Amino acid sequence: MSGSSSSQIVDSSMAEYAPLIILLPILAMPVILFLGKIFNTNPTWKNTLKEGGIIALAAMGASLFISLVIIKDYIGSFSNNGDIFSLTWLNTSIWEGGSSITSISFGFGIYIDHITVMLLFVAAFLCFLINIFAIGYMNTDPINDNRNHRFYAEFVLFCAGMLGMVLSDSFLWLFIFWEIMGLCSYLLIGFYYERPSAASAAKKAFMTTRIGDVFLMIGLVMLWDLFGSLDYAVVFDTANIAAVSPGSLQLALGMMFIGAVGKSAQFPLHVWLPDAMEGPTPVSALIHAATMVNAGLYLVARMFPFFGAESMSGELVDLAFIIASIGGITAVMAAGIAFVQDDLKKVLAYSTMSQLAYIFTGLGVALWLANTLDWHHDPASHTIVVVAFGAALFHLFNHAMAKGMLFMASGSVIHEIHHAHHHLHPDDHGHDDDFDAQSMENMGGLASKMPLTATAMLVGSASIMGLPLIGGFWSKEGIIANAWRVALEDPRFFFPAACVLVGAGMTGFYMSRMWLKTFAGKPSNEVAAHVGPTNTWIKTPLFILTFVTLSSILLAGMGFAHWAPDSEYSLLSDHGLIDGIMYELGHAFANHDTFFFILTYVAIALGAILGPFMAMSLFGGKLEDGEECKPWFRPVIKLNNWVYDKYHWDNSGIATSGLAVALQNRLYIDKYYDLAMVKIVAGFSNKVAEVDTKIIDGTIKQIEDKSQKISTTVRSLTTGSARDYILWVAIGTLLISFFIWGVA
Amino acid sequence: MIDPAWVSGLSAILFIIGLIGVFTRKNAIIVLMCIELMLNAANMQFAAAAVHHGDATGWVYALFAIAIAASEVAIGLAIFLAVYGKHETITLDDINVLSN
Amino acid sequence: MSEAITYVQPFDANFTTAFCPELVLVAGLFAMMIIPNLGKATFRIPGTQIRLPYFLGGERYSVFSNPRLPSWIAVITMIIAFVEVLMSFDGGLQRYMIVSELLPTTINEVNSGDVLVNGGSHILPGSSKELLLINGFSRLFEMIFFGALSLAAIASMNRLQSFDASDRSTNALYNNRRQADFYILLLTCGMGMAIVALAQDMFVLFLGLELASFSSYVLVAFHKESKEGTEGGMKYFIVGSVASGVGLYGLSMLYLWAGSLQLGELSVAFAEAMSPQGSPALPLIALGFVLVGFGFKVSAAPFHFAAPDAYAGASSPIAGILATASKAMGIVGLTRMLLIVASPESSDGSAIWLVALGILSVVTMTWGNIAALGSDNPKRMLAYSSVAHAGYMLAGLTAIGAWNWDPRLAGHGGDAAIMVMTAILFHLVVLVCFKLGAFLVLSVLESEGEVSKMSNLRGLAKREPLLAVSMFIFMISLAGVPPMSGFMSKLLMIMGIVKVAIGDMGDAISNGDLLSIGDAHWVWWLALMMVLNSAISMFYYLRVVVTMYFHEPEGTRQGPLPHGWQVRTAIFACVVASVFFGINADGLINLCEMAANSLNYSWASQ
Repeated sequence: MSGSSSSQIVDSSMAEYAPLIILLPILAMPVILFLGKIFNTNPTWKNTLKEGGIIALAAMGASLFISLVIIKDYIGSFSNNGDIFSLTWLNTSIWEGGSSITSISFGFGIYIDHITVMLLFVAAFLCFLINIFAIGYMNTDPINDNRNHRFYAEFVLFCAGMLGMVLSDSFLWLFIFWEIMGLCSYLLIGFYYERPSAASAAKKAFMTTRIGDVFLMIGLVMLWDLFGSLDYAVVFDTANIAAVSPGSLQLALGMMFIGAVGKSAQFPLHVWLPDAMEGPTPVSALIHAATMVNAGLYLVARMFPFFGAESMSGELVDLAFIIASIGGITAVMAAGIAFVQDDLKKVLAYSTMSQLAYIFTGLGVALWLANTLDWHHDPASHTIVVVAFGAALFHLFNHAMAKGMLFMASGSVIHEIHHAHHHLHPDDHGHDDDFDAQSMENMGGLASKMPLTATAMLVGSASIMGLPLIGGFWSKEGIIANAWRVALEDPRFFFPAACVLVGAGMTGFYMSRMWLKTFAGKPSNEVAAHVGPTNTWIKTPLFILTFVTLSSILLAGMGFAHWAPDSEYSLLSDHGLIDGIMYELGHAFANHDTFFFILTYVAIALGAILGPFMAMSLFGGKLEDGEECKPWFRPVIKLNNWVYDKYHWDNSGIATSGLAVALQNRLYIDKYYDLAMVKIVAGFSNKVAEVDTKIIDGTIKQIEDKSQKISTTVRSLTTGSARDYILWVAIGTLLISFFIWGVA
Repeated sequence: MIDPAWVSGLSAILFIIGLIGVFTRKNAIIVLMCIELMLNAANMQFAAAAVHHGDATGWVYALFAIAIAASEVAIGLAIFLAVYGKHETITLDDINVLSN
Repeated sequence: MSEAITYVQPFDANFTTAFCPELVLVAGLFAMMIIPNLGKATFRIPGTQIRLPYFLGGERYSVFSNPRLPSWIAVITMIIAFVEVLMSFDGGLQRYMIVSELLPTTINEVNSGDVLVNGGSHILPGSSKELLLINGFSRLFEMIFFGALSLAAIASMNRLQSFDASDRSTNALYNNRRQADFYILLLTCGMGMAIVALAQDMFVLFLGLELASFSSYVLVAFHKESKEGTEGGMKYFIVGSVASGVGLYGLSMLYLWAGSLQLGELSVAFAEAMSPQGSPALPLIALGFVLVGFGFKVSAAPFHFAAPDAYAGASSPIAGILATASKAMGIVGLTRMLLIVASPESSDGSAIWLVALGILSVVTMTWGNIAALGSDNPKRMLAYSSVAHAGYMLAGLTAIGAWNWDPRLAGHGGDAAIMVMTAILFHLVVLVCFKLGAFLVLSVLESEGEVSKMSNLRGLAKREPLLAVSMFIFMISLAGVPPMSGFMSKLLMIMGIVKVAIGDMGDAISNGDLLSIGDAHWVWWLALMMVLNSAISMFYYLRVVVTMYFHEPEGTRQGPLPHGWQVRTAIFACVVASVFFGINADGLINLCEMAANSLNYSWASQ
């Protein structure tokens, strides 16, 4: 709390260890790879070290520990933003003597502010938990035998990429780590490279995000052009921002935003995310919760100082609108597609997309507010901006926690379904038979068999839905409310505001549907009936995350919903925890402003009542006779039965309608992309390949042949006879003397 | 006393003879002798220059150069012996396992 | 910069301090001669039965029963000398000039304190000669020489066959004897190189050069059980002797003309000769002849012919020495001759040798690269690549000669020249890391059979991943790929040359005048040629990488290579240095800059 009076966050020597947060995982990678190669079949390596999992865990644990200490130091006093560590090399002082040659300096530094702290905690904490989960998931699957070290090596590098991106102090390093993540995502999604679908999914993810990356790079080059540097210290400097033209800056930021769209899988670069489910489930959790998709959000959040600068006031609203609208479109579109997905992980994938879209909308709205309001001087405006930005970041936090938990829980379900199937049909090996362990059609009634998993799923779903008092509720309400607040000011924003409000109801529907189809009702086949409980490695992170999500109210009370990259803003000093909780509760449920009062209850009604209600009327049912479930499920199951019996709604007409088919086909977006790929890109590349073989290859071949011939000719002068060599020396002597004398 | 210029001229002639011999003769021993000629041409020049300038350093240079020449012969002959042991010839043109 | 030079007479008070690394070498040589020979030899006093032991001789190695002892002595000596050189840099380098004679009055002053040089006049008798100068420049070169020789000595430790000391068979005695021979030659080679680095008199420099050359001739021919070894040694010997014969004759002409071979006096004489009323024919021909002698050492075309043969015939560590330390020795000679004796200060504008050296450098780098392009023998390929690298350094030297950089004459400002010199020195240092390292990797391969074809490297990545990674790093360093030290050196060199070429255009540019490339000094073409040549060179360096990584191992050459921790340690050191100096070049660049500046100082003092 604010009681700690230390004025400097980094007076402790921990700052010096900050680079270790990135370095430890990076160093763990070669160690795991190397040891894995050597001790591949060694029993100690397999059983005690979990094929490298323990080494990865140690590295991630150490990273998490250092991160926590640094975060604690930082939260102790919010006064000190900026570089806490920097290392410069290639500072070529030798050229400073000259006038015409510029000196180049290139270094790495650690930059800490509110945004960093939030993302750092999310990344380090979830990477650590997912690592625990991965040990339980990967090491018990026989298909992974003897290659788990590759998994852990890529895993830690991925984590290092995210941590490095969050901590680095310039856009240049952000981009470098961004690309490291891109590479690792490619490797990890294609981990089962023997499956063609995994290989193509990896390629798809790589290519799609690469499109965004190209734009990001263009944006960074433009930014460099504007500021002459990519260091945060330079580009965030108010005086420097005042010196650049708003139009150019908006264009540069817009380009960078396209990069974020690709990385965070927003419309229209979203096609890779569902396919990325081809990777092992821990990878899905890692990509969707802890790292990759958050990178895009982080990039947009990093733009806050540009929008917040006084000199830019009112100049960047268009970009803010675009950000919010992309979010709005994606929120509704992804939720719609999630309605009809049968694959458990795909539902979660689309839900990720949709929730990220919320965060984008929230960020867009917050950036709009920061850009238009006079928040530097007016305290009321200041609070509005801080709350809007905080809501978006807090939703990122809540979503990451909930989604991490959901993916791990789904992984646990799939894992056990798979095992049960394997147990019942020992002849089927591997993943290549007809049985789909991820399909919800093969599940049902698991609530009694996997109580902890079901609980985690329930809490996670509730958090995503925005069930009052739990996790995502606090942040989602904030996003919706602020979107409408802006919509009242700027009519263009009615579109994203309406999208997020409708999206809330849709979220309630598809998340409930997912839970009910998986855990309620009767087992849909004998496999689901034979599922057993899961192992401890998998349970532990679920358990921890359930508590984090449930205790979200505490964080909200501590003011985490009021979170902004503003060093003036002191977060915990205003009020105590109880006061904070009361304030948040009052603000949420008894708002003084009638408009927001009604809005809150509309959102609750949509997300927490209407959506789940519809899902209950369509899916679910009683558990099988004799199956007992935990007491906290009983009301859910009972309610479900009641709704199902009383309001059962036959939706077969809608289910076969054109819209549903379109949704099932992901609105044909992938199809058109593929078509475009085949028709345009493939045609073009065939042409290029033709030109390449005929002209370029031919030329290169010619050059190569010619150069080899010349080389042979030249080398044939080295006859091997010492006399010829001496002759050359004599000739050389004459020539040198001739030239020296001749010139003189 | 002979004018040092004449000695220099003689040394130049010696040097050219040595240089021509070095790349016209095939026998390694004779090539070595020609190299000695070149070195000795330099020696003579040093000596002549010492007289010309009345500077004793030139004599010292000449003495050292003689030592260099002597060790060069020693090393050369040793290497030629080793070559003869493996190639059974010291005709330069015939020793070309290594080329290109 | 402190301008104080302490003048020291041989065996004076300061002599040991000044000469520490060299004296270590001498001590090592004595130790090498004595320690392995300690035995049970006795002398019977005539007419009595009393036998007096005198220890030297008798049964060799009987006291220290390790036939590998000479290698340890050499390695330890070299490393101590290397460390001494490094330590002498610590806390500002003390400069010493070894002179042949000091007047008695000044000896006291030397004992009490330094004699300061005032406007170039110091208290020396007229007949006294400056012999050896210890300053940043010479110490840096000693660092290169001793570093390279230490690495080669470490790498050679397990190459020569040795037998147990108790084995008294002829074969065993013969082979154990050769242990000492090899390392004595390495030490004398180092001794000669050190003299070259320090010499202030062209003849002393030449003496050192010959001492090092003779050692290296024998080292090349050391493997006399093979046709290649003896042949390579013979060719290297004959061509080298001819080149040094030409060089010595050039020196004798210089002496005839100037009456002295002291650098300072030659420089003054050159300046006079280049004045309009001078008569330059004799010194210019002499200069050309001397360049031939040094040109052979740096293996500049067309004096490089023997080099590929010698490298192919010699054992790989020795080939590495020829390609690095020996080349650096040639560069010292060229620097002394071109930049101190015949420096551009002697005439207004460019140096007299500029065109000749420029052509030489372009021919050398192009020839080397083109020849390397199709070479199928890895050692010959590396030899040609070292020819190309010699070309790059000659291009740098040429650029320095483009203007008159004398700091006393203001005008152009010498920082571009210093930058190019720094680049050359930096290049020589890092060359030891990656060129020698590459040869050491080949040396490990040689332990299983000869390495005369690119195909011998096939599948190295599968057989020895660490070696393959090291070789990969060396290759991309040689090619000059960014994070590696080879890139830094090329970058510095090219930027320096361009800066030289821009030269006095700087003011015009800052005035905003439009200038075309034609207004720049023509040396910028050298930078262009360097870039083009680097592009060509990429091909053959990457061919090695492709061979290692994408080809299956050859039939009989499977599995890991015989162990040899010494050579692997040396390779590891090279890898670390290659990478380290690439990403953290500051320290080394500063050191090289200091050395380059001290060369400038000796310029100014004469």
